Amino acid sequence: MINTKYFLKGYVSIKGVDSPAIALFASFVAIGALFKSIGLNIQESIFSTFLTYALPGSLIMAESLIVGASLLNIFLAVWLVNARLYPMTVSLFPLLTHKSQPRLKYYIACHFIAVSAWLIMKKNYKPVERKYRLDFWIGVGAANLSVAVFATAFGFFIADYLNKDMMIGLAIVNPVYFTCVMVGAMKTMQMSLAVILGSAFGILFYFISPEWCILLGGFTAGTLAFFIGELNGN
Amino acid sequence: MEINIVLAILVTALATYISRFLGVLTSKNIKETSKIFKWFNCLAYSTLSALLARLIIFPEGSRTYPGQHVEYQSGIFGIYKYTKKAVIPVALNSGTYWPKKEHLVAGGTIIFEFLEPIKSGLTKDVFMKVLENKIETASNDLINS
Repeated sequence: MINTKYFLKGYVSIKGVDSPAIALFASFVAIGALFKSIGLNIQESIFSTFLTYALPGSLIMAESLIVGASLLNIFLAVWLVNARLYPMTVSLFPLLTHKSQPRLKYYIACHFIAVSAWLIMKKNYKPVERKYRLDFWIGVGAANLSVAVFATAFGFFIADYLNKDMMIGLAIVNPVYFTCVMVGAMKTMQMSLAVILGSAFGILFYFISPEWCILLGGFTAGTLAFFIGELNGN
Repeated sequence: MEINIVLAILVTALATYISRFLGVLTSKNIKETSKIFKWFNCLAYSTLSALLARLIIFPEGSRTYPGQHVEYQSGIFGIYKYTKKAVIPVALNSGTYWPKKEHLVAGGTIIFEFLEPIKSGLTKDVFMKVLENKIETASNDLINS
């Protein structure tokens, strides 16, 4: 069902020099420690990372548990902050489609969509034979998810040795890493505008609505970048 | 904690998976050479960078929810130690009317309650504990009254 050779190829691609593994690890260590401090047990912590596997969503959940928000509130807040996964999926999966792959496999493989795996895949998909790209992707995703799960458990156990500043320090490693990768992705006018306008609008819209700023800011910036790029021949 | 943790985890996972699921559904009819694909590519990078900018510039609000417990920062102890003065703790219930993350300010009377002074000369641990106890107890009483 999954081509082992390509799966393993994808799995080991996390070893690259520019791999997100270290940043990913640092951030999930912080999440594990945070989970412990708000009263989750080890099973719940691992379960959460395994099932959600998207950092901002887990942070929102932790924050909501602290203040005792309702389930509906958690649902909406998480959906809003993780809605970026939608355009991310649409901008990756058309590259992976092949008629030989069963449809259901895509709906399972999409669980691995998160920034780290997505960035690796965006960079490495080209040389991979189209027929096996989905298997390669599952390998990349599984590698990242295993790092995240392992880091969560590790963070849970060392929670007592971390103070608040250390946790914030660990958690910020990932966003900083991604910001660097984003700058690296600015190769065409569209990409550059998308990244620059995205951060500008993300902040501007924060003053209108902290909840909606990512979606509205991202949508406005991305659409503007697309049209400006199209008008100027990329 | 009022709500079930396992339920909260499941709800979080579901809210996250929905976007991934809809993404696959939409991808079905999109060719990688199409303009729509390019547009989505721009959207993906821009929402991602909006999120990163937000995370880096506004990591967390400084105000807390009423009744939420956070660790007290020890800056106050520095002032207390060097000025050798007593500290008068103040409890308040403003969070009830102007909560963190909300723009609307609800009507109501904000009460500042000046508490018994803490005399100078205590050690850091004791001082921080006394300060926190006094403010938390009095604030909770204000919020619940």
